[in-house]
Amino acid sequence: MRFSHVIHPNGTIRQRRNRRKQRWLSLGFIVVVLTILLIATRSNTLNWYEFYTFFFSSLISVVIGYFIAALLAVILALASTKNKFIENILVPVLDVAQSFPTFALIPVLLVLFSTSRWVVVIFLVVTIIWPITFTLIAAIKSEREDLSEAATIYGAHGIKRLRYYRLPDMLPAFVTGSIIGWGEAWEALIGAEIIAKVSGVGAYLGKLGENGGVAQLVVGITMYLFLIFVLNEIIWIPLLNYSSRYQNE
Amino acid sequence: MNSKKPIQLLRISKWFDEKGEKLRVLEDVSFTVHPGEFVCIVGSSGGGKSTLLRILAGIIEPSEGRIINMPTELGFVFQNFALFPWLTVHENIAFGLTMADLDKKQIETRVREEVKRIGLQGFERSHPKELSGGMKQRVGIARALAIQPQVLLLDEPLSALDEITAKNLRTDILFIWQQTHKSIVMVTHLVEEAVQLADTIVVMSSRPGRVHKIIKNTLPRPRNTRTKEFFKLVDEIEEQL
Repeated sequence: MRFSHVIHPNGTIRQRRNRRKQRWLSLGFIVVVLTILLIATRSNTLNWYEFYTFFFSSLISVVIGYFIAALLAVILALASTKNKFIENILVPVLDVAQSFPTFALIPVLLVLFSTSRWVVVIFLVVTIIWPITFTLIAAIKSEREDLSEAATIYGAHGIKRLRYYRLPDMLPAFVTGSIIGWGEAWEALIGAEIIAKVSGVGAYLGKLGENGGVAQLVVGITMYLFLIFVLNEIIWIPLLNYSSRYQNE
Repeated sequence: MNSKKPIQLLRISKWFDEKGEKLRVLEDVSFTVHPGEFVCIVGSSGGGKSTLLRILAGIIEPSEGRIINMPTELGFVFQNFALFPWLTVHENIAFGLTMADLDKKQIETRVREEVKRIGLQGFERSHPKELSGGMKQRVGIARALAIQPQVLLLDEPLSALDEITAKNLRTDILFIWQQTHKSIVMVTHLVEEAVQLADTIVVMSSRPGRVHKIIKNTLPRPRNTRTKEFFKLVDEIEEQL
């Protein structure tokens, strides 16, 4: 057997190292700005303990909402692309459902759950689910036909097809949809907590505004954005880099 | 299914519904693949050759006709490699074996054999993105051979490669065929390639794809691609297209 036209994978290793370096630089930048922010606001009356407690409690809502939405989105995407008949029925239904204004749900949720945290969680599920669902549907519909054929010919059927072909094939789209959904969730969270009067970082910031603490509100919002940025750097950017391996050429 | 029996394609037709009209892709295609035979299907583009190969593989149902004695264990090599980008070379080769629930030890042995056969030692942990076109197609061939198929179906396996790589790989395919004695059905649009490799050449006309002529290639092996007889046969087939 000849063994010519060999490309050593060094190039890709170098790319990976560069990406890691960029990530560390971003984290370094974040730490520096965070330190400056904390020094500048040390004499301010913003109660950091309260802020972080509320942020953490909101983070739990977002995480729970994200996992429920992600699971439902995968199920919906798989179901709606199962065959042409189901697709023709389900995709228009989902399309109408996703255009429904999510904030209009809050009064209904308040009637059902009063002012419990579940109002926010369900609101977040409804916010996060659509970007993931539609990114997944688009990915499944534009799958490489020869890859699907290879999976069939080499015996990937039923659960095995899901595990060894369908889910890995969907991963890049899943991560992209998740990043959009996660971002939208943080955006919607503040409004939802203020309207539903559920404790969390959104309600806390809303209260600061009501009490006229503009400086505290600015510092609080900056820190809020900052923490979301940190979460992106820690969770989503590495996941995005990882999922690029799963992308078709 | 018995590998000693010839695979028979009997009056295979295929049409697709397009805007309420029947789009005929294949019509009345019949030929036989004998055990250990190398069959090349040649024809112009859009002639239904790849559809025919997919019917043989069982991933497309024929609209009419049937196939007799088609083994269930078959390997398929794709024009654009169709390697799973998230899997390494080792995992891609092992894919069919993993689906067949072979134990780890057996998988390891078979993958090692195939990696050695295709000359990709040292690249087992590489991903398809890190490989050249020729290397990717070698992995595609190894994946097909790893399941120890009775028949190999090759869908224009060299057309996405540069000429030098294609020439090397053509020799390798011939070597694998002589070493493994498997039946091979290969689709190609290159007449010289078919004459160099095949025992039997199925010449197809297009729209819809029909068997125009079946030619037994009696040129002695190893074949010299510069002889008068070789060019004569190439010319004879090209005249049919």
